[in-house]
Amino acid sequence: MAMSGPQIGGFSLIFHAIILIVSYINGKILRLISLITRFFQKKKSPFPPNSK
Amino acid sequence: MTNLSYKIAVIVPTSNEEDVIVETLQSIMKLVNGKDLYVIDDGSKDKTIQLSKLFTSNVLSIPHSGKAGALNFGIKYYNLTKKYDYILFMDADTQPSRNFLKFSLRHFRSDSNKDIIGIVGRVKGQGVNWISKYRQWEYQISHLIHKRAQSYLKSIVVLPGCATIYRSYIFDKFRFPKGTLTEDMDFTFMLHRSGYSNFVFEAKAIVYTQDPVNLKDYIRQLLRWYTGFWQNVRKHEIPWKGQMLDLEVVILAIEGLYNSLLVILLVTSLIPIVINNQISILGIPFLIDFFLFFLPTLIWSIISDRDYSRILLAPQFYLLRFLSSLIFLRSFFSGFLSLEMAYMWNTKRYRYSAKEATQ
Repeated sequence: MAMSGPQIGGFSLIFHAIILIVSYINGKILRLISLITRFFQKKKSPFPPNSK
Repeated sequence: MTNLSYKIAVIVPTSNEEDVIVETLQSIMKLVNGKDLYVIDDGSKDKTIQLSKLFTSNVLSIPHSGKAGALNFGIKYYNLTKKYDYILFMDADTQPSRNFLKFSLRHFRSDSNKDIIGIVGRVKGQGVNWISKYRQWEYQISHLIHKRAQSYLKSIVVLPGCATIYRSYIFDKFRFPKGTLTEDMDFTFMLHRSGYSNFVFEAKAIVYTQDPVNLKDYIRQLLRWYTGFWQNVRKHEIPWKGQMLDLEVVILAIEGLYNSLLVILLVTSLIPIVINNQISILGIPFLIDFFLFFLPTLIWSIISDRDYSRILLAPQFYLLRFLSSLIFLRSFFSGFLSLEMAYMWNTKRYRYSAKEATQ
């Protein structure tokens, strides 16, 4: 079967569209968190730039 | 041909495919060498075997045993699970795009824990007439929205036999099951039930497939697909196992049955319109379906594919949707409520050129 399932219609479309929107927002939030984490990790680095 | 740093086998199961096999094998040869291409023939009586031998020496002819039987036999006979990292299955009427492997295999490469079991490509129709243009619309919604969301939820309902790459070790553990009309869906459900649910959908990995071009073949194909769906619902005891797959399939099944009822409601609502010249309340679900689902998604597909002729086909498309709904209801009785397990995997092939596939 080449389709994603049998019949398609409004209910399943709304359900899957919500899942996609949530996953998109989730991805953006995770990316933001990782950027913030990286930013603060850089600031708190135990090795000063002129340590040598 | 793509320069490959990994071992991938391509298996094409065939059964009287002389009209389409040359174009299909030509498109596959742009992805892999002939030595990695395997044609497993399920008792063809036409020139399929001779034509296949022009492309590869790995052509195996076995007595008719059905698609699942042919695939299982071919994998075992050529010992593919030991020789290859990945196995791609390609139907004889389906042609992969040039970048199919590039876009799909990157998921395996970035998956160091080997959690991903399979990559599903996007199926596109070729739109040669109004019936196959209708199928293009269905593919667009069903892949770009449904399957993409299913991939996120790890609840992909069917790994299509025409566009899926598996890690080869899966076939050390499992074989394609027999006994239902949709062996790819049966296999997918079996993997879910065995705890293997991590499949990824890749929209850029495109294959172009043939679709029915007349109503008789269209009805026949839908009867096979839908009856197979209900057989699998019953066989895999949906919705009683509590997996995401169960939720997904229940939503799709209810949706299909609702669509069938919608057709009946519409016909019923026409009676007061004819008798009293009044719009019946029964027609409201139909109006919602038409204006809030069908028309917006059709316009989206038209803009996306830039095929503006499709708007003129909207009435035919909606009638075809009605027909599909009634077939779904009929399949519910034959596939779910009865024990009918007729076996037929041959679908009608057409001798027309796949222009898009060569792009």
